[in-house]
Formats: sequence, structure tokens, C-alpha cells
Amino acid sequence: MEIAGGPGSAIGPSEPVPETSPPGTGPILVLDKLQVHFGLRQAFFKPKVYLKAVDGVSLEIARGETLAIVGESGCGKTTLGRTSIRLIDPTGGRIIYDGQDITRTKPRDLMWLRRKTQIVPQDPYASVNPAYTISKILEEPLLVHKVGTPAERQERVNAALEAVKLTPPDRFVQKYSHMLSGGQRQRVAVARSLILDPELIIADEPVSMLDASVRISILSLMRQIQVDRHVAFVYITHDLATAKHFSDRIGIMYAGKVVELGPVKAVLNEPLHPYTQALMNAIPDPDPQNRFRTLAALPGEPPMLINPPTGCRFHPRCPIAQAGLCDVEEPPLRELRPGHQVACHLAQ
Amino acid sequence: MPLLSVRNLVLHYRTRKGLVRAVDDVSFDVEQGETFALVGESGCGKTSTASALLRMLPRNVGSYTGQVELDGIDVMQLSDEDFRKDVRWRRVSIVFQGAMNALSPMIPVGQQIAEPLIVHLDAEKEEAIEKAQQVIKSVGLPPYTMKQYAHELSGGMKQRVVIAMALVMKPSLVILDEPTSALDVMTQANIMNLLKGLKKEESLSYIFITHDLGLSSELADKVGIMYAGRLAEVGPAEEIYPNPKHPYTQKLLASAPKLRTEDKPDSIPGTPPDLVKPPDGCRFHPRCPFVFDKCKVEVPPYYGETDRAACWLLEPGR
Repeated sequence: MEIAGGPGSAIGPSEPVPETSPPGTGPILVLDKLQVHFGLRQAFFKPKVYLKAVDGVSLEIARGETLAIVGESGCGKTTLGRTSIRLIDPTGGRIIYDGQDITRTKPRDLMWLRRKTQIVPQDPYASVNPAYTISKILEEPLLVHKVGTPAERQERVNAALEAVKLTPPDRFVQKYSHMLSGGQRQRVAVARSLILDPELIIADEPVSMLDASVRISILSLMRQIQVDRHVAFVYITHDLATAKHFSDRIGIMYAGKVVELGPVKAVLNEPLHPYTQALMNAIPDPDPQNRFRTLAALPGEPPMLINPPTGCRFHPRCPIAQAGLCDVEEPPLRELRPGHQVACHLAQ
Repeated sequence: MPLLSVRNLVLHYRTRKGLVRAVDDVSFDVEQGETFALVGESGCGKTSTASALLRMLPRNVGSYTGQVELDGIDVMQLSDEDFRKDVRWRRVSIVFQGAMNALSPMIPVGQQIAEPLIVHLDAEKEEAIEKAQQVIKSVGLPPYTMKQYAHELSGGMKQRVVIAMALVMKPSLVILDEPTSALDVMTQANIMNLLKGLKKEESLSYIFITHDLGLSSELADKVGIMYAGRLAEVGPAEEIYPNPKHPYTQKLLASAPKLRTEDKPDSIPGTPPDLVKPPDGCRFHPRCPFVFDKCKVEVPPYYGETDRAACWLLEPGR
């Protein structure tokens, strides 16, 4: 797979520059009509087709807030997270980090960004080097960024272990990852993301591989860190229920687009988009009466991102879609309530 | 008489570290047409209980004892060959966790569904295919799915095929081992609706294995909460969800994040014990907020009439 500019994705100087503010004052991250199209060649002589993983996403992340990005698999939420810190190159739109446009900065000029932004990956069994001790795993980012003396680095390693409640640190520094449980490994991954004191952490399904009771402790820990250190989190997940309890704002993604965005309470108490409503209806809370009811589930599957439906991408599955409107015209994201945006023609 | 009656079921594995007590003295009943949900954290012995019921055992079995009565037959007395012929898949079938990824890529799914009929019932091929067509229809798939290959189907459709495979022999009991864990929420909701419909129409009995208390309430008439190889609490759904008696059940319910209430989920401190050396007395005592001396020494019996929990707090006169 190769990354390439799709049709109409030129990053030209003619596009209006989003409002930027001096460093340290505005939002930590602004995405403006971000586009990531992957070029796929299905056969050697066939023309390339473009998989529109992220297609025109605009949002802001404030300092010290947690924004949950929720959607089903294949909706582009992971691509969005990785692109927003330039781990994937966008094919259109802009990324403004702390007032600075980083859309096309060369990777070698992005070392400062690598220090300020971190990622907590999904699978703690795959993301922690089995040949390294915990101490080495945590020290490595400090060595890469040439931070401190050996003694200072050791101190930071211990502090990070304490922050993720792997205490006392002495018990863990010389261990290898195979000696730890899944939850402890994920704590190591969180500690590693903290070691450089970042401003923004992208947590990509950080608990989906963990047991239900361990999930809550890891999420509570991340929430605690966010409050204590004023770090901004992007929490990428498919689980609305944990997003509800561990985030400030929530963005619902469907087929490469953000369809609803707003404060957690507003979105979940009054979901405006039919897709958000459908997602909520599909999740049961523990209740013995559930077995006498049918879940209001949508038929069908999310669309292929190579040839997404015209108009609103949700219209083929939407229970309230209107012919002649929803299948023709793409709904823009509109602010219907203060801070609460929705991309639906029919939402009021 | 219940459809399935399990008494003092034990399944231990031999390992280099010692004997793993995966299932340790488990007893429960499943009535005809009833769903029994077996709920617990990973490694608590849920799937081992299913393996024990289907006698699908690895080579390192240390001990495998207890009474299992199904349809009035004492199945533990059967030889392996009789069990294979008469019980497995004919009376009890299973939808494995992630089974949809185990479909053969080389054989059309219709033939894979029909296969057990040919193997077990010596059915003619045409007859088997016809029965497979009926079951394909009953799981909500279009007839042409019969001729398709696994790679042509989406995750939700493959899971329906796997459910069809479990139903084709018309077993009296179907074990569902995390049947939706690999699926998206919307697909999961559709599969749960399918399972509910089948339960009602065909009066199926299920054992539904899951770690998700919200999901378990989608099917469960009766719930068994499993912890460290034992059942901590067994009771009707109507009692156990609103009024859990065992502290572990209470903690497990409190740790489930809920979408419709503001209650913050609360984590359970500590980790589940090593099943090689489970704690003495009540196995939950090292993590229990209400622990007292007796819990550390003596194994609690079950207290209660319909909702029975193994906890010393429920001892009469306390």
C-alpha cells in the first residue's frame, strides 16, 4: 500500500489558512479538512483506486482534555489518530499543532513533535519489546531524545513507574515483559508514553485487549494522569460506554467522516445523528428484561471506503433517510447546540 | 427433570508448574428452553467448563470427574467413541470463540454445514444439503450463501454460518463461547437478536459464556458467576442483576461501564489468583472488601434458595 494524493486532494496555498494562535495559548491540535486517501493498485495494469480512510475531518483538541473518537472497525479512527501526529502523511487538509502547521514538515524536522506527542498502542503483547527489561523500555525514549544523565534518566523511569502504579519501581525495572500480566504490560506502555512529559497522547484502543475489570483500572489511571499533568488524550475506541465515563468530548466517526461531535453528556443524552442513536441502541446495559426485547440494530454493514455511497454516507442504512436529499447532498457538520455539531440534514 | 444436570464437575490440567484447577467442583442445572449464562473474567475456567461438557480435552488432563446428565443419560459413563457418536454435536454443540476464522477457505460454506449430517447420521448428500439450506435460512442468510466461500462473507455472515453449523444436527443444548467477541457492536446486536429469535422459535437451550454482564443479560434466564474455577453465585437473572449477593458479583456488576446511568465504573482491586495455587478458603478472599478470618480458612457453602451464593457473609445468624 502506498500513500498518494487522491483526486482533488492537492494541498495548495490557495486554501484558506485556519485561524492560528501563538504557541501555548490555543488548542493543542487543530485538524482542518484532514484527508487520508490510500492508493491501492488492484492489478499491475489497472489504474489505482483510492481508499478514503479519512475524508475531510475537522476538529480541535484543547489542552488537557480527553477527546474520544468512537466508531466501528474500518471507519478510519486509527488512521485519523496516527495522521494527526504525522505517523501517516495526510493527502489533504491541514494539521496545526500548537499553532504551527505541521502538515508537510519533513520527518527529520519533526523530532520536537515526537517528544511532545506519544501513542499508547492497542496490543500490549506486541508493543513491548520482549528482549528489553522494563527499565530499558522506558529509558529508550530518553536516550533517543538525549535527555538527562544516566542517574536522572533512572529517576525518571522510577517516577514513570510510580505514576502508573507499578510500585515499588525496584520490583519492576529489571523484569522482562513476559513476566508481567496484560494489564501490567499496558501500564508499562502508558509509562513509556509519559516518560518524555508529552502534551498529547493518542491512545488507540488501549484497553480492548484487556479483561473487563482491568480495563477500568487502566482507563481510570489515564484519566488521573490527564488531570494531574494536564495532558490531552485522544481516546480511540469502539466502546461508547467507556468513552462516556472517561472522556470530556466525543466524536462519532462513520466511513471516514465525523458525523457527530460534542461534549460527552450532550452527545449521549441527546444524540442528534441517527448513527449515534443506532450505536447506543446496540449496546445493552445489564438488565434481566433485555432478553424479552429485540435490540434495535441496523441491518447491513458499513460501506467500503473505496466507493462510499453518494450524499450522506450513512443513508443506505439510515432509518429516516429522505430520497432526493440524503442520497444526493452531503450534509455538512453543523453546530446545532452550543459546542455540539452534527452532520445530518434532518437533525434539528 | 432438567435437560442438563452438572454435579461436582472437575477438570484439572497437569503443567510443569503443577496442577491447574481450571474447573473445581462446579454444579448447575439447565432446564429445557433455558439459557444459562456463565460469566467471569478471563482465566476463570468458563471455556474449560465447556470443554469438559463436550469432552474435548487436551492431553495434559490431570483429573476429569463429576456427574453430567444430559437428556437423562449419564454421559460421563460413556466411552469416548459412544460419546462422539451419540453426544457431541448430536445433543450438545458449540459455537467457539473466533470460530468464524476457522472456516475452511477451500470448501463452500454450505458443504461445511452439511458435513456433520453425513458423518454422524450417514445422511445422503442431497438430504444433508437440503437440511443445510433450511438452517442457512433460519440464521437469516440468503440461500446462495450455500455456494459461497468463507472469504466472500463478512464477519457477521461468517458468524451466522458458524451458528448454522452448531444448529444443523438439532442438538438439545448449544454452548455459545463468546459468540460475538470478534464482532463490531452493530453486528453483535444483530447476532444477539438472531440467537434470541432461535431460542424462542426452536425452544433452544443455551449455555452462554461471556465476560460481559450487559451482553449476558441479552439471553440469560439463569446466571452463574464463575471465579477461579468455582461458581461464586448461581441464580435467576431476575434476582442476580438487581440484587447480587456475592461480593464478587457485586464488584463485577459495578465494574461494567453503563451507557444509561451516570454510575462511574469501579475497578476490582488485585488480580485473579493463579489456579495452580488458589487461595485457601473462599478463593475471592484476597480481593474481597468484606473479608474476615473464617473466609481465609474454610470454603463457604452455598446459601440461599433460588439465588445461591458461596459466601460466609450469608451464613444464617451473622
